Amino acid sequence: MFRTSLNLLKGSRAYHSVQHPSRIISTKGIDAVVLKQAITHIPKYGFDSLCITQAIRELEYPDSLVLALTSSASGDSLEFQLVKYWLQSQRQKLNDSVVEPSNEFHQISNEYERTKFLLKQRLLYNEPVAHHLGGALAQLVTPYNVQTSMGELHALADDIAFFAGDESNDFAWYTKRFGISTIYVGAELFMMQDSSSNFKATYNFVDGKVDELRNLGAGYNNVEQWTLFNAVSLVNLIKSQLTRG
Amino acid sequence: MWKAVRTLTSRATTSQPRLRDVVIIGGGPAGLSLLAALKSSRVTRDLQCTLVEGGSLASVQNFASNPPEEYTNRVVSLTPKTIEFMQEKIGNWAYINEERVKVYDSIVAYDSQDSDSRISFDASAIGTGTLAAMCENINIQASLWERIQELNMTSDVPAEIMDNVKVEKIQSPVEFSASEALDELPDLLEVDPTDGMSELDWPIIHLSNGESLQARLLVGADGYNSPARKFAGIQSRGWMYDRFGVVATIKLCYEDYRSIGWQRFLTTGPLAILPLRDDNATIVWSSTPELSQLLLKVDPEIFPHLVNAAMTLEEVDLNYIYKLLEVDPSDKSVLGEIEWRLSKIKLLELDSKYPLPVRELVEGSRARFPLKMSHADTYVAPRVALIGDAAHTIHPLAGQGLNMGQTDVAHLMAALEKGAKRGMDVGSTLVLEEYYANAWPGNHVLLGVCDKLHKIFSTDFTPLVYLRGFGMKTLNSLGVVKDLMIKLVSGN
Amino acid sequence: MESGKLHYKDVNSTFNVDKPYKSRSKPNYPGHVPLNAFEKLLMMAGSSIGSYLHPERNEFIVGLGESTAFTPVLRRLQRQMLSDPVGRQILRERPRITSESLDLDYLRLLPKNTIGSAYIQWLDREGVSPDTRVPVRYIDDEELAYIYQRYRECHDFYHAITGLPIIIEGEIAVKVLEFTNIGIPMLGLGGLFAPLRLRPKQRERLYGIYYPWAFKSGLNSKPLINVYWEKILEQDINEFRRDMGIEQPPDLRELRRKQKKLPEPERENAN
Repeated sequence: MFRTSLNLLKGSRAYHSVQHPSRIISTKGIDAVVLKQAITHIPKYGFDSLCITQAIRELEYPDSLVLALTSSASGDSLEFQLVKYWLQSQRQKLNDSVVEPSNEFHQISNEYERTKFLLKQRLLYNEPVAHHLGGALAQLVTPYNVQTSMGELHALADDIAFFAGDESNDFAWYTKRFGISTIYVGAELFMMQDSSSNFKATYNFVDGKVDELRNLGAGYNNVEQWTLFNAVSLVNLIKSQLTRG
Repeated sequence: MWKAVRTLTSRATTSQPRLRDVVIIGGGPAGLSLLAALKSSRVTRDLQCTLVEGGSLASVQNFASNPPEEYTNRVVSLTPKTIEFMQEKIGNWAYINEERVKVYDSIVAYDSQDSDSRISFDASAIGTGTLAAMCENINIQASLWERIQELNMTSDVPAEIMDNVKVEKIQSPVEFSASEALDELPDLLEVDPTDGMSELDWPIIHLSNGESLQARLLVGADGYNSPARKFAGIQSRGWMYDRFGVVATIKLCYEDYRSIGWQRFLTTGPLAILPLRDDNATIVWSSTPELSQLLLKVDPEIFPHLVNAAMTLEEVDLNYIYKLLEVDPSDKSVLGEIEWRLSKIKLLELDSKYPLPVRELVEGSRARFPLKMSHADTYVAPRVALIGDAAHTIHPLAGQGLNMGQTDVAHLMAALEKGAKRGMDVGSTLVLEEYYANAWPGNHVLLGVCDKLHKIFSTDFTPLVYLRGFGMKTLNSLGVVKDLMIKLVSGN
Repeated sequence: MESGKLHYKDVNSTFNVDKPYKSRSKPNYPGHVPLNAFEKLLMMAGSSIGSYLHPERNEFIVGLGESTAFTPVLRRLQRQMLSDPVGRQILRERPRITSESLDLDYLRLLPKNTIGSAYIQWLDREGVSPDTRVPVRYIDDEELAYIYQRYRECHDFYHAITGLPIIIEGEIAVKVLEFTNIGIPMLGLGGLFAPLRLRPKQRERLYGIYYPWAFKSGLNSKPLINVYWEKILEQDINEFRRDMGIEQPPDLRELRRKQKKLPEPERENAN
């Protein structure tokens, strides 16, 4: 929706395929090369343009190369480009790790447990930059960036739901992705101020929230089942009395 | 053309289906009751009836002469209305092994969150002294068998019972010829294979012993996965409860002189202890799939104490004990835990508010079955009627399943008698629909009530717990309402 | 014969007229003083006013605690203890913390980083003894009374592992930590109303540093009521804190000393 045309040019698809794992970020362009180097500096400097300038220096390019990024077609600021690249590269990492057959993920059969695993895996990638997430979030919520960031959030939720095995073809499709997005954002916010060892508290938070989502789904299914049953039964009751001669 | 020739030849080689008035599929209490009732009733006793049962009825036949020593684990509760129906309309009560029937005059049901929230029903409301009777399934079946044999001896048209015979296929002859006609253009000069047989739409039942029957009326008493219902194209609506009923036969510490049936509504499902004669008792424990697995696996020495704990201790203790037993089903430390927590309850309270303690479990009597609620859209279709579990399944918490089957039989008999008296075709929907109109609403109400009870007591959400506790206590103090409820259920 | 009652007029009732009104119920455990509903209400009102005006007098706090410890709250605590193996052990063995049950000299010999050593160091620093805990009298159920007694006796341990002193600020901070972790209502009331009697500087310190710490530690840590203190006296205290999820707050006495030492204008800036 938000990125169709640009992505079609880059050769990625808007659907998932088991034959061809999707490429979310290209590795060819100069901005991709620079940004790839830049994200290694985020743990030290945060989501700041300093990471980019350091990267350019490390790659032994002239300092003026930063113009390639500042004048990019998307019109995003350097910091936002860094944040976006970070999000996309982590999502790519998640996709690649899931497709790997030796991943313990494939032993889990329950859809909600798989969702928990994927969310926690993605949050694991955030661990080195956890204390800088505030800065990233600030970039993501600015009004001129919010459309792109929402698109990224949805893409992440969509990926997680797909790999967890969601096969719904009704309104539950939307509810699940909305639920996963909410849990992910909440977990990131939690992670920012989490001081427990190994971010145990964040992972427990994710577990709790996914369980809530599961109960919500089960509760809704029960209500729907009951309502349909009673509606049909009312019709049958009337039919039974109409047959009295 | 060749197909028509082939059809003619194939019909010549297979035996012609035998024509019967009533074919009942299923030899459970519902099917046998209907057969016995048909043969008892003056109006319908000359109908040619056959009952087909897929399993063996040998144990039923042997029950009268050689009953098993221990009580079997399928025990049902009978309401006074059912007993009266069996005594008067069917006449099989004379053959019931009364020594194995336990009559109750009181039932106590209480909440797990607060043992003071309880309802106790007394038989004094209906004046007969019997609130319910606990009877083994096989006892009922055996009595019906005996009654049918008695009736057959003096009957011109004896009822036929085929056991160990499965139903392979049920087929409508109309469909049969219709499917042929679709394949090719009808040849108007061709001989119609069904010509000369006015019973065009009587269903043909192909049996596993090679025979086939053609029935004026096909009665499905064949359980939840009824082939008769599928044949009639009747949909059944409902849901699985995601619960299993665990049944077992146990022995109490000593004989319970009180004739009280106990039921505790745990959050995982109700547990009922129903004493039988002497110190025997039967339990029905509706539990989650994991818990039911655990209950079947638990060491037989620990099981009685677990039942005692489940009737008296708090849920937090029970959950802790289940966790210990999941790890090791023979963990004897749970006995210490149960004893410790039991010591917190005053002895006086234990005696008056809770059932007698369980002493031991009868080996091999533990079994589980899945619980579900379902109701067929309609009980009748042209030439088909459904009774018993084929028509409806219910949660066992109120012990109404078999009784609902008996009311089905009663209503169907009323409809068939009416039809037969007027000389009508008993298989036509004109006769059968009266059964549907009379039986369906009552069954639906009962299904709904039991379902709601199950839902209300499955939660431990504090406001709801308070609400239901308040409701129970209030209802318990309103004797008039309770008497009304008992009268309704026992059908007076 | 329903529940032991006879269905005809009981002639004995005419002879038992010397007790016309309902008398006080019997005590359920030694030291139990059964109160009726009106008396409980009166105790709640009186002790809440008294503890606000005179927090230094122990009997008001004791009375408030016991009268506001409603049965549902204590039952929830009982359920929490019963679902944990260590909690069940505590309820079975019923340990009491007194100067006899804990060998204080032995504790003094333990290495400096153990819980026992931290406990005795705190006791000596503040100059208190473990015997100063009043027995529970007004809670009706015997097991719930023991649970409340256990909470009271472990209070000093909570001070020891957090390092908060017995001055009023420290007590309030520990009370809020206990409230978020254990959930007894009196502590919540204390946390709400007690700071209103403090000086502004003390209040700022409390709201700014200690309340956020207490909420975070209390809510995220494992239940403190399930800790069998007597058995873990030799354990390393830092490991224990990490296990439980409790962080240590800034030392209150040090903070007060530093803030007192600052000259006037800087003190204003520091605040």
